Amino acid sequence: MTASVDVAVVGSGPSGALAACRLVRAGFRVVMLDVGHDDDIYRARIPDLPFSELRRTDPGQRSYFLGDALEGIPTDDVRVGAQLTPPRQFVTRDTEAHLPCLPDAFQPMQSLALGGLGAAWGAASFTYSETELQRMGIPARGFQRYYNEVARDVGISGDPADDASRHCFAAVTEHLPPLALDSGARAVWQAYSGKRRERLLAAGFSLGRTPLAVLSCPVAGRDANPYFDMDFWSESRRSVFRPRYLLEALQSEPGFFLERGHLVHGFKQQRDGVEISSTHLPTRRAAIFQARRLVLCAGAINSARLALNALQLPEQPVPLLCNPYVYLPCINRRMLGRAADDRRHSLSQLVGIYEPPGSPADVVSLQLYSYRSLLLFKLVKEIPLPPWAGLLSVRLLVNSLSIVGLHHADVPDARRNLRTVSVENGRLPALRFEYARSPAEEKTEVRAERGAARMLRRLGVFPCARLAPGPASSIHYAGTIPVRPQGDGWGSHPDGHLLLAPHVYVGDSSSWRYLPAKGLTFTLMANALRVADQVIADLRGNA
Amino acid sequence: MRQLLQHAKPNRREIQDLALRETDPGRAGQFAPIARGPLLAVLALALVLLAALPFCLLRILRGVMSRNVGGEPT
Repeated sequence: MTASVDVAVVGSGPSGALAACRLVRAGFRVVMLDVGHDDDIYRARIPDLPFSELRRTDPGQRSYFLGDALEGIPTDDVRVGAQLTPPRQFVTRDTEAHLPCLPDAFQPMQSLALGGLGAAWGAASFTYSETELQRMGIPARGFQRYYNEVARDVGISGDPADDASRHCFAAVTEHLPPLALDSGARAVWQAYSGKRRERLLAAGFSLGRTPLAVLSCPVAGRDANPYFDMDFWSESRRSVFRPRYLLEALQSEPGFFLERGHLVHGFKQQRDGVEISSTHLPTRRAAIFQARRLVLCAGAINSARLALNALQLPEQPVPLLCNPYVYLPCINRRMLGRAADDRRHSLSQLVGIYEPPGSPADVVSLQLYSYRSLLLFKLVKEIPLPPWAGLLSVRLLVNSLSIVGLHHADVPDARRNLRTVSVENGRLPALRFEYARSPAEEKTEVRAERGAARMLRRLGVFPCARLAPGPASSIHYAGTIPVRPQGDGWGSHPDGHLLLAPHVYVGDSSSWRYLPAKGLTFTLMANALRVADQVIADLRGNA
Repeated sequence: MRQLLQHAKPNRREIQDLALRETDPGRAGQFAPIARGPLLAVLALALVLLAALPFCLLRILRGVMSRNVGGEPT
């Protein structure tokens, strides 16, 4: 049994890291519990050089581009998590064993890594509007300041004055200058001007530069992005924010304890606090932690799994939100046959927001990526041509290839839920999922996608296919412990505490009642600060 | 139709072979983008697709036949 602390935080991802930071800086003793896998194989092997130079010169490139066991050669169909490169595959290590899910159609990506899914996050950083926040059950008044605090802590580059940024980066004043666009994105950006821009705006489409949690200039020991196009592989001089960087800084604080190796599987609300049970996986020993308050930041799926197990509620269906996601490989006609910039970053270049005329509620968000550093063989394997022909075709097209990812919003529905299948002692129970879209929802989504594709064509970006990697593929999950302003039973209070366990707080997206059609991580971190403030007020009020 | 096109895609051995060649620094030039202008790109693509068509059909035929006799698709 360990000494008691003020707050235990389960999960070391983006929400856990920000919550812990806030609590430690407020003077509380905080223990963070996570299994906390990290990349101990590839990180040190990757030279600090541009992708193009590595490809020509590094004899050791195969080990990190393909992996020691060639785990970087996916041969199955496009599936959730297929995009993880070998240096990022630690993010999902051991999840099948310790976070079991029945083989349903909904197969979420989960993480036991240090930094959680944030260790492989694409860094797109979008704000939600006051209307969206209210719909989610988050008090909107005063929330904007949390976005600015996060922006200061993690470093976010963007331009709030872009047309699309008004929808998804508004009121962020603590930002760095936007990153430079690559040649493909510049061609699209230049097409979005004059009369064409006015017509697109009138049709409900706006374009902007993607706000990214990536440094465009050095901040606090982290460097600016070097534009090596290695952001899916290396640390990129720590320019892309990872929760681990905050936790490393916190470890020098006397009131912060990072306990790695711990899989938390239960908690018990007590009169003055919470008793948390875990298994230390390396030694297989049971451990107990005592805290005055517990903050669940294990992600919507696993915070719910833990809470359902702790509260002994097997087979109770709880809601599940997940942004439907498809992606469109496109040809940017302005880049066809043209040379592309060598110097670029690998992440989302442009963001589009499309509000279909007559149904602005069915908004779709788009993110545009160029393609190079994920290697050509991954494209050739998807083309129904002999390899020599597929490779030639891809070499002719790759400079003009853009990948556009589209997200739709999600709302609670009886067809979308999860439940634990048992109550387990000493480990976590398996989850069963149901996830289906109604015919009306599918029709609306396809109509919105077609509208978005029309807008892209007007910019000279022509979709060649529509690929749907599966229901869980957006890797945006929420809504499993939804906010309920009053009453008891399963759910959370607007101030963040579990209705069935008032000393336990929900610090991640589990409490959200609606999931807008935009990336959620920026809001996840801002909300974690808000919940941490509630915990602080609670503890100080009870001191 | 989709299943037929699956037969035309590279198989596991070919994908692995391609991946290993791509990550050989001595062969980086074989995987470099070709940028000779849009007209040449379109012409070259058309020629590649025409030249590949008989090979595609052969692969589809082989795939269908090996399926019918219970073998693995090639």
